[in-house]
Amino acid sequence: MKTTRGLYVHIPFCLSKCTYCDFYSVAIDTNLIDSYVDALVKEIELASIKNNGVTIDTIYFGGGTPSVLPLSHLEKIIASIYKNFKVDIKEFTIEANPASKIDFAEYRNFGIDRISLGVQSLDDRLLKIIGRKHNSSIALNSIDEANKYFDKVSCDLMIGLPTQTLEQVEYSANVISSKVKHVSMYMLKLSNEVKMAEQISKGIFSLPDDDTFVDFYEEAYSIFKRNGLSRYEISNFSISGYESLHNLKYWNREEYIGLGASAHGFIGNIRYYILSNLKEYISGINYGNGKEISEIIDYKTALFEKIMLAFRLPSGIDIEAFNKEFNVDFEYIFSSQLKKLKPILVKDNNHIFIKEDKLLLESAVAREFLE
Amino acid sequence: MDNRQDKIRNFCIVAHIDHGKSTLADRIIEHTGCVSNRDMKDQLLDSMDIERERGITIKLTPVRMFYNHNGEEYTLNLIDTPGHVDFTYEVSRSLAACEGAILIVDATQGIEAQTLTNAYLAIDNNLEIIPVINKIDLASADPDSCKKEIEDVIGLPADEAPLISAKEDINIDEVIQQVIEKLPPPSGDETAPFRALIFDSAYDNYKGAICNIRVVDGEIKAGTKIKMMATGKTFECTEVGVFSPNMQAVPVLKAGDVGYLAASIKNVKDTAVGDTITSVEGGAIEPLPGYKKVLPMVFAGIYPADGSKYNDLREALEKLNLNDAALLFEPETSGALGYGFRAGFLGLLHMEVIEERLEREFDLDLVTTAPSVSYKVKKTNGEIINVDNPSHLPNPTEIEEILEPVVSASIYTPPEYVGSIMELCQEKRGVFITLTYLDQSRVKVDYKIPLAEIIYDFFDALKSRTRGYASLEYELDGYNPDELVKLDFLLNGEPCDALSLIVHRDKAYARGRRIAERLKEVIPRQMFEIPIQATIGTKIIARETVKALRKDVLAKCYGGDITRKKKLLEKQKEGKKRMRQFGSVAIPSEAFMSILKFDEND
Repeated sequence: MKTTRGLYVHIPFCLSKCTYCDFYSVAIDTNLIDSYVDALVKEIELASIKNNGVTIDTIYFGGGTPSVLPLSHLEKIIASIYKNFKVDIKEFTIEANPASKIDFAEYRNFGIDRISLGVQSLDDRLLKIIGRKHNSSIALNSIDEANKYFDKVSCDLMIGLPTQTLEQVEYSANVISSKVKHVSMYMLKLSNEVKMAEQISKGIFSLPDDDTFVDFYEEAYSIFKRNGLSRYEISNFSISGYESLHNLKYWNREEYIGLGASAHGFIGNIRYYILSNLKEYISGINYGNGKEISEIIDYKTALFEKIMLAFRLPSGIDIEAFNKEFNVDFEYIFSSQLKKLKPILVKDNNHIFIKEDKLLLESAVAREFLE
Repeated sequence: MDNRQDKIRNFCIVAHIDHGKSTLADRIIEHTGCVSNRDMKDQLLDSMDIERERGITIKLTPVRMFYNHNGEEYTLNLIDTPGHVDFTYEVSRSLAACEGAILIVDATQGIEAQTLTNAYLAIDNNLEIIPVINKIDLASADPDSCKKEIEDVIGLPADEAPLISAKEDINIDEVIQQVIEKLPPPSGDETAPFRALIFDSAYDNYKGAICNIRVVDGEIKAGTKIKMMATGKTFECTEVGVFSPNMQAVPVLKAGDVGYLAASIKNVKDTAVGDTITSVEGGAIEPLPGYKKVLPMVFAGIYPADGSKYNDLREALEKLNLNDAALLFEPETSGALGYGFRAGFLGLLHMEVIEERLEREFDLDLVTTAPSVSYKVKKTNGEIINVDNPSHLPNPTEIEEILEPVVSASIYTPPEYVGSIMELCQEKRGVFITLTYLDQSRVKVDYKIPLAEIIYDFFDALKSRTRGYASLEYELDGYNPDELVKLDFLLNGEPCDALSLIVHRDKAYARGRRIAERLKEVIPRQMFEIPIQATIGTKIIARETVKALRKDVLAKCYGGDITRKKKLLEKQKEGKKRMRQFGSVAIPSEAFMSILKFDEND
């Protein structure tokens, strides 16, 4: 029985900062990119030693915008991974921004088999408001190009943007889900540090209320369904067989290694993340220490995490597997919660999950299971 | 005949707020060579912030002073009086300990509302009044106009009124001299059996409950066995003394004297204000007039916000009880609020002061129900029961009649406000009794009003309709049946007993609707739709719905989001702990309290 882990690599460079984004990223700087890639390669070497005997089965390049990396640098990183780790790749994803030219053919040569395109919306005015550097026709071209080279193409869609209308949501949802086999749909969630938050507090824009969010979501979901996509996680929809294997590791609470500044990992009973600061990352590696912050997950926390993550999936909690893993009787220890949540939970064939039309109450449900 | 009493003067000072009562008191004390009790006042001030904030005058202990006049030494006893309609009875008993009163009028303001109220109170208690005109040092002072007002409005001769400035220490001696010359001395019988009026009491950790007394007849020494005439309880007197202004034991107190008596009395409830103390052997037969048993008028449920603090609350109430004879309480439980107490108060102000003291001095987080009165219920089986908690009202099918306490209210007012006052009383289901013209400037309006209508804001409404000039006296006058119903509230189908009310049928619909609306506003959306219903018996009279929550989710949850999400959920859970759970419905504490205290006029 071999141990498999996913591998996440963070590429924190972007052409520009979108007004809603709170991921870690910096502007492109050639020297910085060179140093960063060198540091990353060093980290890969160190990590492979720490993960001796482990087989990598999914790779995910996230960011920032991984697609702004020059091909040579990308090749360098990937070559290092293949050289140092034991691999048996079932899925290799890279995130890409339609605003820049993407060499899909070369990506295929590197072993990448899945593209995630940051489309967000097909309404040009909206794209401008949120600071995207492409318009809808560029995005559509990019999707068409990607489809030529890749079987597995995914698009990101955002709903709940300022000034967005139901018609815009319907249009984007329909066009996109008829062109690709996987869509990730997010409801805008602002943190105080992003520019959009400032714009909203200044009254430049306003956000739709919760009820409108839900209406948009439900409309988009029904459109996805019409186009043959199923929901396999709160925010992720795909044709059967085209789910993101790497991301499923998160929700199934399986292990993954994180590399690069601000990357996260989960191995054994430790969740760790690597500090964000690029300069620190680069120099840290040079001195042989990857600055990590670790969190030890105790039994109770692990139990809660399992529940919290499982409820995000339509299959919910597999009772038998859960009981075996944690040596408990799930329905017994949570009998009062299950009683309280009866109207919105379903028990079917050894699984307990949230009703299809109530999945957006996931946090309210999870909270009930906090001791 | 010993003319000892001829050399005693017992008096008080009354005035409208800020007309200079405290300053004059201090000056008189200084001029008599007595040690100022300002230090004591400061001490008291520290511990009675709440009373101060509410404008309740701090009651000071009486002060005994000496003054030489025309070669003779006189004993002057200054007795302080509190002022609020909840405590009218106490005020009247303090006045009963005096023969006279100094009435201060501010020379720049003239007669104001409380000037009149206090003046009439003194007159009604047969006190001789010395008008004094204060603040003559100020530029806008108009003493002549003041004198005229006093004569015209109150009907007191004022041509000899001393013109003083307490602040600048001008003419204070003249006041003292008039006290001696114009006020009658006490005229008790020194040889008769001992009788003393209790006009105040306080609890001392060492001596037990201490009575402030005015000896009317006879004399009292330590060692004498005494009897409280209202309760019949006997004690042995351990100490008698005077206030100079600190407590100072003396061998004997005689007729005409003012001082204190200690008798190792454990419970301040045994020292009822207005009661008469006599001796066990050779004691008096007739008590002094004017004693009334003080009964709580207003009841409320007091619960700890955190159920585990029940004992802390109990201890706090017991401590407050030591020094507050009027506070009653007993344990009770509520389905909605858990374990707590039902407490009885003299009135709304008394209740609010107690609640604030519990919160501030004892650091307790409380949930308190709306104040209510005690009802009598005649059941269909003939039984008559008392109900002071609306949720203990029996099933409507078992009720033949509900009787509510009714008061006889006398409102004293200048004639121009009579119409407005009658309108107010009518609104409050009052029944007109009579109207009496006392004199040109004063009318007495008598109404019988349900107590339940008085306890909320009647007094405030009265004051605002009469620009502060009206005063109110009321006392319990039996129970009357009326069309009263119990208003219940169901949250998600379950009754919330803390919200139950007894209201008059005519007001029930409006009240039920308003409270249901407020509930809808304050109950946060939850996973399920929440129906809110106001019911009388089984009839639903108002209905609101809190829509179900549709979204409570974190859309993105990838590797890096998991830890953050956990923390967020924990934080949210903490936040929700501050909600009170009523069956399956969660309501934020403050919001729930605001509904409990819901006022018709909100």
